[in-house]
Amino acid sequence: MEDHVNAFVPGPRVHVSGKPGGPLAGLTFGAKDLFDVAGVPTGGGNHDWAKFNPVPEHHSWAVQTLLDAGADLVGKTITDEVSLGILGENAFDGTPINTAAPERVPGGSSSGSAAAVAAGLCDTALGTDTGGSVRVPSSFCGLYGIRPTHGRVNVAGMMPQAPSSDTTGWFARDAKTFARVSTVMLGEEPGALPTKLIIATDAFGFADPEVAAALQPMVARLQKIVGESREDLMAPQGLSVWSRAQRTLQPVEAWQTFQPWVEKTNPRMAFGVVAGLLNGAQMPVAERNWAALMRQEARARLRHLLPPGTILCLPTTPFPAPLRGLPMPQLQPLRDRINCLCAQGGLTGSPQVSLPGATVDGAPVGLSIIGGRGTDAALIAVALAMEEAA
Amino acid sequence: MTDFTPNIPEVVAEVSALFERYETALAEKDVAVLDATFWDSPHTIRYALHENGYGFEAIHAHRVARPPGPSIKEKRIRLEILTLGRDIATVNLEFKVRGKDLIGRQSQSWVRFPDLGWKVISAHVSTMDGARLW
Repeated sequence: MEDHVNAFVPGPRVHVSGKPGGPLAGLTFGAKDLFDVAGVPTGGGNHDWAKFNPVPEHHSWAVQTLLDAGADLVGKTITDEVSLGILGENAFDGTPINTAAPERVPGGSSSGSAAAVAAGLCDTALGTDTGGSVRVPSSFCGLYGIRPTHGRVNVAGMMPQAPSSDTTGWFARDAKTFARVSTVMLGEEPGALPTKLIIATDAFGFADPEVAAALQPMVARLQKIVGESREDLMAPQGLSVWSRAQRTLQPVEAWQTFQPWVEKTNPRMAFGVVAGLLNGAQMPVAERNWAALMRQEARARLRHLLPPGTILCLPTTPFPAPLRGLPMPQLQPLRDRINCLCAQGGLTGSPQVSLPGATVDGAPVGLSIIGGRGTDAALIAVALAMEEAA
Repeated sequence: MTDFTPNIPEVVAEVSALFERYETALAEKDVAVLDATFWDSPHTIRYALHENGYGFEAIHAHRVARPPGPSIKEKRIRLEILTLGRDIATVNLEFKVRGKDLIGRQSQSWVRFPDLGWKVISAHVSTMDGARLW
């Protein structure tokens, strides 16, 4: 298989066959280079990471689970450096090509996994989502993608970033494959469809008007599937306030995670990654305390909005993928806006699925659905119903 | 200094993916992608098999008017992608015309604009007629 989109990590390609006869027999998968594969160094998107960390002796839980279910591992995929990035640009390994919009970035940090699935190089791929790293590439590459309920999917053997927000997610091109993989990863069949829909008007208003308009047919389809719907605010304090809380908590934890490595090995890193880590290292206690309170408020808000049977929808990203190779001063405001629509995941731990089906200027943009904690299987059912009704 | 390095692999990969997306969009008559591929400017030119499109508006009108149906390309004979530096590329494809003993040729000039990304600024499709003109 030729990797014409630079989705897999450079060098020899790992291949591990799945157990015969499982529910995922016949499917292939890629694993973001944050997931341990026995006998293969975990690269983490930084060329000095593997030097500090021993070659894993065991598969990560997620890789083992997919292999046990019969899927074949066909390679490890490029990640943003130590999972710190949202656009998919990696100074060491390059930027995978987004087949759906080749002049644009694929999104990150699970960039190679999304690019590989979008290009048809594998059927599904593992990603991680701390601050949006599955949801954003799903939106930009036109894929189904899930950030499961925090704590639901075992993260053993997955390189951590900010443990109170880290999750293991996955991608697929079609809802049926997505549901097959999800059934294995969640250990639960797609559940009953929700019966109430909330349209997050603050999030739709925050997105580009072209995005909100392009998503309207999908929202209408969702309304038909779910039944009753109403408009409400997701984040009464303001999306930027939620985002600020996440952008406070996440870097602090990321710094705690990477500090030993940075201080012992003085690794080579891209400027943007260093800036992110320093931000966490220098975060004032007062800011952290405020952010911890804001997280409690956000969790309470989603508990209130999302009792069993209710889901909320919003644009996954405020715009389709930005162009490749934009200069840093242009990228930072875009990252900030993306974070405003993603912060709820890391803050609250609620599950979120991004659904493909809309484009702006020929480039994909996803519609997201969020449920209460533990309702992952209901979101998968919605994904199936949305595809059937398309 | 302007970089004119030929065929930087990642740039070739990018242009190649753009070309493939365009070809898929032609076959599926995905006007949004077809429009997104060409520079939205009165200077853009597309000589198609049966029409001369001067300017984006005319090219768009041709896209909309074209009846859906299978692509005229039956088989690719030779695809040549040349990139110079990171902002200039040409794509040339020689192909067999569907159901006819006829060779088709497709040429595109691509430029990467700082604010728009890669766009085709000029394109030409023609066939090699069996009857020689000279």
